[in-house]
Amino acid sequence: MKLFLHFSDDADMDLINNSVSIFKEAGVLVVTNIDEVQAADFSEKELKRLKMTGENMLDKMDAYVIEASYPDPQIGYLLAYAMSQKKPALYLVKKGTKVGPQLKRLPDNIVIREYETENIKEELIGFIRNLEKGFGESVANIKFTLRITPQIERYLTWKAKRKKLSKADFLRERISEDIIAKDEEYKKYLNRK
Amino acid sequence: MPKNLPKITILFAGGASLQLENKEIVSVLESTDVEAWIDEFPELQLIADIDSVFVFPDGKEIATEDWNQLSKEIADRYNTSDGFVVLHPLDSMLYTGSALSFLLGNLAKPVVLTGSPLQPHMKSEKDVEGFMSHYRTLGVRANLINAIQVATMNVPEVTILFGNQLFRANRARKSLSTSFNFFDTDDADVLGTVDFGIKLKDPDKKKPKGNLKLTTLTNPYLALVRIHPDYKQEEFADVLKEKPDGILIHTYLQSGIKENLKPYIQIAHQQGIPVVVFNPFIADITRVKGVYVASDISYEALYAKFIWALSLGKSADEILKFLDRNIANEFAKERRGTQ
Repeated sequence: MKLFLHFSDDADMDLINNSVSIFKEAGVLVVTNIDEVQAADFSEKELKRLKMTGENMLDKMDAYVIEASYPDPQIGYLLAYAMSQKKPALYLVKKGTKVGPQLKRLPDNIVIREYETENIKEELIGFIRNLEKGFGESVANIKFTLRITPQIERYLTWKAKRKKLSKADFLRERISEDIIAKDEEYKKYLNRK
Repeated sequence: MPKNLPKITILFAGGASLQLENKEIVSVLESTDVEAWIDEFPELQLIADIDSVFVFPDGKEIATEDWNQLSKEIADRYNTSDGFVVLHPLDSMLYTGSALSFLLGNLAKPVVLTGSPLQPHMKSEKDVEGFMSHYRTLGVRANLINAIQVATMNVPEVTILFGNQLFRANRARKSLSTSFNFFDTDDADVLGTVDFGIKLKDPDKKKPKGNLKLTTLTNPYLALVRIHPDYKQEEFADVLKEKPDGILIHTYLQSGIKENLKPYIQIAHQQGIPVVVFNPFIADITRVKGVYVASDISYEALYAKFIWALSLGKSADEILKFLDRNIANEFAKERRGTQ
């Protein structure tokens, strides 16, 4: 999972570092507007390709986290982009920060949360969990290339046909029900966070 | 979020064809279509206070006389808007972008052209099959959001936003590569990039002082001549008979003008007709009296500038001097210096 974290220039450096650490510990790839190149998971080749194709790097992210406690013209843009591309976004403001009237009617993929320094971890991890759950519905929107042998391909084709599922749906079902649901070690790992 | 959002005017001048979630393609064909079209973009209200104006329907082939209307619509709202986004057909965007850069003199606010790769005759998923997979995320939705954001920023000139780059409009060119970016330009004329937000190369660019100076085109007759190996002098003689206000010669020749055309060029000069020779690749063309040689400017920008210069009501010699002058950063960086 790749997340883009946006902080305004006035944001506290400790908060930025802490947020990045929390996500990294949770196994999330993080890109921030503060130090994009260092934190980015893009190779030079990939960056060149994106420039050539005209694509926006925001499209390559699975979700956005926007710290919006300070005025910043990029915030409205990021929210608008999240809305238009239907990307999940967490709009974070310090407790007590006034939220503008334009934000009263946001779609479900954008969540507004207030935080205090002590509970920031809770909010960020909560957001990842919701992402994993697909905000209430399981949305498989992360692209993943898997090379398989002809033997596996033959089996998948046969099995998927019998189950009346696509091969991808069949695999997703098996991963969720047989692998993740039965992995006690992973459950312990999630509970520790 | 700031309390007072900047006011941005969207001018519908073609190039608004949009694919909806149900795969239907909708276009703006008359002024009554605008409201429903804008309703498809509730997210714009998070960036700016949006005003919209219908100028031309989608699918219109934009001509020189349309540039007057478009620039006037901008001038009429210049003092009440913070920036402008022009939705325009992609095929003629380089001409219109160049023209606006000359017509809107002393421009201190952003004018951003963008548009949809879809055409209004495309109505369904079947019509765009393969087409949108080529342009992937470069549909009008992402382009418009990016353009609106640029229009709220400090970009006091006419630009083109398409894909992930912001170009100086009169320096942009059609991309020749097989990439999906429709436009291209020299590095010096990429004014910003879109990656994790819009990043301007010069966010503190100085704005010109004083009022906007709008030029109105007088619809001069500019004759276009394309020189090829078999071009005959009689053809040029026919052009002169039409009594054009100016002649723009697009040549492939290193010497610029064919020897057998020189007497006719002399006649044009005597008749007070300014002649411009364009060869984008060779700067060292033999100079001929009464002829301006252009090589460090795009064809579209030169065409628009010539039409603009002819509308100033000056003599042929003065027009040629105007064409040689940097008006809106239309020349290559080496030629225009540090601007």
